[in-house]
Amino acid sequence: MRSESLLALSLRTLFAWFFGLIIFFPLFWMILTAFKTELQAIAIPPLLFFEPTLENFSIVQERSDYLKYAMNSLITSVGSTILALVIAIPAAYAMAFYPRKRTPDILLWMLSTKMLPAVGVLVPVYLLFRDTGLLDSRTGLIIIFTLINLPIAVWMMYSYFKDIPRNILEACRMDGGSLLSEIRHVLIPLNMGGIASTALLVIVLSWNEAFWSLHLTSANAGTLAALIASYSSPEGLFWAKLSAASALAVAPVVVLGWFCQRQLVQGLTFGAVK
Amino acid sequence: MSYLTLNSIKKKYSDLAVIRTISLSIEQGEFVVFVGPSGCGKSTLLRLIAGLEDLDAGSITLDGQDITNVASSKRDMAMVFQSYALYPHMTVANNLSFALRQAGLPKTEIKRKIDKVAATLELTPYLERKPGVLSGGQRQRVAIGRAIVRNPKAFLFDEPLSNLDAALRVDMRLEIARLHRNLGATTIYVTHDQVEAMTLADKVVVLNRGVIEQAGAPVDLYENPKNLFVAKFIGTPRMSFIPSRVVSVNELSTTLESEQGASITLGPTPLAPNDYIQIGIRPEHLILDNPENADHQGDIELVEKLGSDTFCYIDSQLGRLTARLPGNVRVNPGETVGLHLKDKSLHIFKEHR
Repeated sequence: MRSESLLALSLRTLFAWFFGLIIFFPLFWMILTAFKTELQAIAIPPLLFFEPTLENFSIVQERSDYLKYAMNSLITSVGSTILALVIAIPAAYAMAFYPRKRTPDILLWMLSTKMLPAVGVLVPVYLLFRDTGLLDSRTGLIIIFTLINLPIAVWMMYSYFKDIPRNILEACRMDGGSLLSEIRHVLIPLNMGGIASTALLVIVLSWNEAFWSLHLTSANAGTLAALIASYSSPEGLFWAKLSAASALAVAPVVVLGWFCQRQLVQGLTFGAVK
Repeated sequence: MSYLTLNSIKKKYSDLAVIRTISLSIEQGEFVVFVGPSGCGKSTLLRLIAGLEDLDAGSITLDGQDITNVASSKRDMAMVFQSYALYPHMTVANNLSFALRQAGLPKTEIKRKIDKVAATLELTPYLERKPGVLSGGQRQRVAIGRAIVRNPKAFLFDEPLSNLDAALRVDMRLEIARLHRNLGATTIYVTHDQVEAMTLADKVVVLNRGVIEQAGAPVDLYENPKNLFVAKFIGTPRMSFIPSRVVSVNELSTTLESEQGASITLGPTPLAPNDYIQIGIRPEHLILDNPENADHQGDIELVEKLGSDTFCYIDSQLGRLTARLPGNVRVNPGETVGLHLKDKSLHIFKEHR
């Protein structure tokens, strides 16, 4: 079926490639820079062809323990994702199947917390963390990641649950199923795709989170974001090492994203594409 | 005391009263059909009995127990939904066994029961399939199987046949009637189709705007409709109506005048002069004759030949009337015919103006 002319098709393709390349370019340049020496990294005009070196990666691994940061990132992002889902699924269940007059307001109010600049609550959160001993701990990060991603998780689960015919849950109830078996045997199995998309999105968001991990952690619970930041120094040459650290940090999510493209796109466009 | 009783129950959605004070008794083993036009509250009434909606007032008792505040999962009723509401992620076997597994029955017993139900409903070849690949009729049978696999105190059917095509609907109707005869379980069945209501029910409950218009045996409703609504609702083709005004009444006769000006004479009635009434007449009670032999005349507008029956739609001074004739009768549109109204077969409804 040809619904558009050849010209329109080639124009569209051209645009897609153009914007795709614009988006991809910084990542490409970062990876390229990671394999340059510091001098090559700041050379003007920028070098496109050079002899690649692994020097930066070994310096990064020497100076800081990549695995420790990666482990912190992994534990905090997965932990906060599980916690967010454990809270979001019952919350979305209640709002999707037992809506009250104020349910839309609650949903909007939850989302509105995302409109607040994070720095606006930095001081109170910092003080709370200091007084409860949560500073520089993975537990603290898990809590804060859970809280910042909860609105998104609830919204996504809510929109997936809305698509489930109410009758199926009622059938479960008529079959003698308790609330728990309704959620366990019907709601969750029916929404595995939606839950996977939500989980994936929340993992990626937590993994890439920088603001809170930079301000609430230091040596102990630092995530990969903190690792990257530690290579940005006020003096000296650091671009190549910073790029190497960044490449190491984004590699796991890029791989994860590559294999779960479908779920991720579904998650990112939730509500828009069904 | 009856098996299932509804005591002055009420239900409102925001400001709309969907159920306005309904009381009803249902005996054990009875097949009760709620019938009425869409929006009459019949489905809501069923959902209230199922416990899927909360009552605003009144109470429900089942088997001597007050279940007004008992959760649906503990009421021990089985329900068949209009949309079937099968569990799409489970095989037919797991759909059927879900309730039994929830009740914690031993595996061997579950297997035995499933096999028996599958055999009854001819589902055995499909036990390992998912609902998505089944046809509408098969899904319907799974939904029914899911209900009859256990031994609930009552079966609730919410317009179960409305998504099937006409031929399948007749088959399933017979199937449901057969199941009820074999199981003898108390059944409440909601439909907007009065043929289903008439054929299946021991007791038909006609609902309109949240109240019961009439409840009784199907034939009783057909022969003695209590009011205009029931008279109009039950029977296909519909009862014909002659709107008229009482001119005079004495011990021997009643004289009426139809809206179109025809004079009608009936036997003695308890009516008073200037009462406005509707005279109802079932199509099979309208007798056609030669024009010169009858009191009233009309022109045949339309003839429907169904093979077994012939329906004539007649325009007359009495109004528009329908007559049911045998299938082999020769009548043609445009013919003038005589009409006989037999007192005994007429239904008289007073109109409050």
